[in-house]
Amino acid sequence: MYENKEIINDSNKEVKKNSDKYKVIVKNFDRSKLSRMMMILILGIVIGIMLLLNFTNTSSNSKEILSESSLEKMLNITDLSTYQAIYNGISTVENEDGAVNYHVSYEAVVKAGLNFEDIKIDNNEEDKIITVTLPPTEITDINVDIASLDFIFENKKSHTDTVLQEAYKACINDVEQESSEKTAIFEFAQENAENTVIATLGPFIDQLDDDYKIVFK
Amino acid sequence: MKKYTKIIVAFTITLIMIVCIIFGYKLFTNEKVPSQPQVSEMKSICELATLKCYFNNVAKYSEEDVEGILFWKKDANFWVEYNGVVTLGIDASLVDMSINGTKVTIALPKAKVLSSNVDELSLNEDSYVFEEGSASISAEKQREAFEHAQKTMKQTASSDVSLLLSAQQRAQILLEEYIKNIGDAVNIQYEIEWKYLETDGTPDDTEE
Repeated sequence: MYENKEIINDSNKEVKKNSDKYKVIVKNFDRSKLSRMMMILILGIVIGIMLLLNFTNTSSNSKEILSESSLEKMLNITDLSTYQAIYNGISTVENEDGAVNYHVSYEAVVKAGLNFEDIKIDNNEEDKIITVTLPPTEITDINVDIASLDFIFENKKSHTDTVLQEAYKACINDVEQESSEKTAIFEFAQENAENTVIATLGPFIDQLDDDYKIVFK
Repeated sequence: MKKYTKIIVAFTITLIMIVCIIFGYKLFTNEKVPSQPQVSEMKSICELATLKCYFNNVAKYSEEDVEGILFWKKDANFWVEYNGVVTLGIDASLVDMSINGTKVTIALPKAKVLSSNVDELSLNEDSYVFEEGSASISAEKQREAFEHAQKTMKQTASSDVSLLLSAQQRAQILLEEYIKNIGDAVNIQYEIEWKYLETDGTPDDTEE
């Protein structure tokens, strides 16, 4: 009986020993694997959040800067809306019969411009094209310098005391007519305005997305 | 205790790695939002700031004793009207910039006439106005008049202070807008200091 009890006791000790060993092995195994899994999980979550935040942040920043209202606000530079042309010309004054009385040379400045507040912008995000519609250019001011008048008289009798006043009016009429007919004045004003738009918007658009293009309508 | 130490060490290493990844990613990724004014962009802006100016001018030509002999010599006095285009601006290669915190110092040369071209088609027989009794003008004289017109147009534009000033101000305003817009994008209020240079890039001695 005692032998059986001893065998049983020994056997129980063995089982308990094995069981304890097993528990130790399981504990060690769980702890190291758990740590590794936790590290990988934390890393994965953080990288995922970072990527998501960075993408949405960049995307929303770009969209905000490239919005039509932001771009139009950037172009609100009224100081650059006016351009000037130098118009030194010659006006010919005739008498009632059509014969030439005299020629008068003058110096004048013609100002042409457009209203930057009327610029319209359309952003086509799909094709990445920003279409800028500029308002028409107009002559805004003409200034003839009366002190610059110089004469060549063909009819000496027309050289009177009031010739300066008459000539000054003739010069103003001449430059008004000539400048409205000279398309180059308007073309250069338009070109200068387009360069202003590109100089203002171009640096931002290039840095945000260099696939974008600016087109003028 | 050893087991807990291992866990703490592992956790600390993980945290350090995460921090390094966050900062490293931010450093090496292409930041799409403009962060600071760039000199290269400013030079491009200055090139775009050049002003094309339509120019209609009258060249006055006078020469004594052009034809005839003795007491019957004739002078040549005439005007010639022509037009062309004058380009004004600053030399973008001389523009420079330095940033110290929120203070931006920009070196900007004065504006000058970059080019001038007479439209040859604008010179025709209707362009000339002769004084009564003037000698006739030969083809050689007309060619001289054209060359004279070229020089006169450039000289007239170069001496037009208001025109040069408007070209200079144009570049300055565009650069100011560029820096202001960059500042708005990154919530920084930049302060601009201008250093004016002569057209050749030497410091402007007249600056106070």
